[in-house]
Amino acid sequence: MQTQTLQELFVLLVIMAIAAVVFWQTGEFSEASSGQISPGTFPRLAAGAMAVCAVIKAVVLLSRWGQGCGIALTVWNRETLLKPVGASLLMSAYVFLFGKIPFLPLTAGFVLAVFLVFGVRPWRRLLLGALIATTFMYVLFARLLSIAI
Amino acid sequence: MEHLFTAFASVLFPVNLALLFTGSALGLLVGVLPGLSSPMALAILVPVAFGMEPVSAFMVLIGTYVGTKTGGAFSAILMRTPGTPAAAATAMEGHPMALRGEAGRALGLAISASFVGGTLSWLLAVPLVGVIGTYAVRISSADLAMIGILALTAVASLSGQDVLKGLMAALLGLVISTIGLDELSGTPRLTMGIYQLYGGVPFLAAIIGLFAIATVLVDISEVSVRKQPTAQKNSFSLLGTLREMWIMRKILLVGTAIGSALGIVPGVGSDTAGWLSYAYVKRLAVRGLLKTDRKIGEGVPEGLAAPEAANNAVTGGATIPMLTLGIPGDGSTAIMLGALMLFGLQPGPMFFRESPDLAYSILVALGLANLTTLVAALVFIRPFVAILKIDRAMLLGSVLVLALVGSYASSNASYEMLIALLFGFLGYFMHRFGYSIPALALGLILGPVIESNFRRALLITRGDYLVFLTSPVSLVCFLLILSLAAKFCFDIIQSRRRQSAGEGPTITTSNH
Repeated sequence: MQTQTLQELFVLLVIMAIAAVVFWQTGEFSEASSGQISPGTFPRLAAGAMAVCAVIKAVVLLSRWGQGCGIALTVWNRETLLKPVGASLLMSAYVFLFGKIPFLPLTAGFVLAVFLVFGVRPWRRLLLGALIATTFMYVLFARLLSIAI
Repeated sequence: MEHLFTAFASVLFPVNLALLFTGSALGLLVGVLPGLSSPMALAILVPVAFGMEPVSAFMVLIGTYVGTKTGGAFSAILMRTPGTPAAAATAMEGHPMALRGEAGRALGLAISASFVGGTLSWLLAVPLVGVIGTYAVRISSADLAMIGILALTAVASLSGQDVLKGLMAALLGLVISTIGLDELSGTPRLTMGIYQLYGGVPFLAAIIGLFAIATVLVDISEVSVRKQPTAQKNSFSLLGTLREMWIMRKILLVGTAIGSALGIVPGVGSDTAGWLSYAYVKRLAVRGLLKTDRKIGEGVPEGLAAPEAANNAVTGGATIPMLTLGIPGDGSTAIMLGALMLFGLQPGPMFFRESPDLAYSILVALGLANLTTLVAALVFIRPFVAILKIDRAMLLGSVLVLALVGSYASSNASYEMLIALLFGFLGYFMHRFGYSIPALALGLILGPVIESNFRRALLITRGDYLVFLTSPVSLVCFLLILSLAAKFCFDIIQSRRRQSAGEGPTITTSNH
């Protein structure tokens, strides 16, 4: 339970850090004059309110320290992380290589790899599925929508 | 009235009607498949529809939006796995009916009740849209800013279990919406020197990331290994279904009223409407007011029909704030409003005046989509039931490619794929830690509306902040915001009292 609370507190710290960045980035804007408010006022108001919420949430969590954070989070383990992490790495590679490698081989390889990570079996279904999905993407985007891919 | 007739002619034009039907069939298909949702389908469809004329594009989007509400019932009844959250209550009575060999009857009832609920709520919504639309053009900038803030607060408070997390998500959406050149002064804000961000965060890529990529990442790590017994669909009699609908007309009307009323409130979605109407049927059963010899939970047809009518009736209710004020009630309507902006249109009080053709066409299409969904459901009932056997991992993998290429297709810029990916990661972590993704999406869409009206109101009054409290509309909004805040404080105090009384900490489940 304390691990969950620590994870929650870490997220709240990230939120407070985002609010701090907003204040830092909008600090140089000129101040309001005769109703014309500065371009930084609105983002600062939103970020300030967000930071206040984060502080209240942190206080509530700390007051329940040791009693459980009150949130049933999904357990982080190898099994639940493997597929999302694999998919994230593959998507990052796809975005990086998009435009550098022609669409058809890149997409076919990506679909095949994603299906493999997601556990599609047997091989025949995997290959057929990848072929159909790639063809569908190509026909939809390149032929029907005339997108330059 | 003249615009309404023109809109009917436009929607009934064969190409548009075919697109509406296609959208309905697509929506049904998405609804049938567990793991795919209405916002996900709409997010992926927007880049595809972007190449069409605005009216045609909205035929597809609206058809899909309405179709998903009905489609969710298929897997809820046959597998006890709701295709969409809206159909969760449907499974309670629908699946027991299917298990005792009445799957066809249950599906027929669900499809018909959805049609009745959706159509009646639309009939209620049309005159209300007209009346509210007339008054909406007189609403001041301060009022609009306060309505926007109220909508965000309502979504944050009502859509999840944790109000503070909902608020933080909505506020993060507001902050992200301010990235880019300030529209009044032309000053770059929060761009970190990245010139691609000068035009702001691309809404479509962000939405695709939040609703498609994030959902796949979450779903693929949570694919259930526990299989529910799958019932076989058998045939149903249309005449018998109509007779049953007539017998339970009062329950259908109550379900429709609940759905229509809740649809107007931002943040209270179809799932809440479904559960509330199910609770109504349950109460009737407890009091012995239902003419059935079965106990609730054993497959009472009324307990299936009421939630289905209610979750489809939400579409009519949600139409009112969406079209008259530009306030979306959930992720799906936020995406449709975003699509309007992509077409260079400004949703809000002036929408009916500035773009009457499209505005009335959307209104008409929302009603006719119930009919096209009914026809599509009756035509495709067999193939859709067969599709339930499709490999979910393969389906989710394909959605990832569609999402990435779709985000590129909207502007032919690979940088938008990167934005979609980053928002996908953000959505994944938000979901993991129980932060509301629809609240963030609503913050993104309402951010520019709230900010521009907030600044305009202050400019007109030379910086007098009291302008946000002086008009009746603003004052009512302010009081409602205060009451939501008071409810939140009351909940915290009550929870602490329970804790100190020795009941232990309140365990809430984040809506994973």
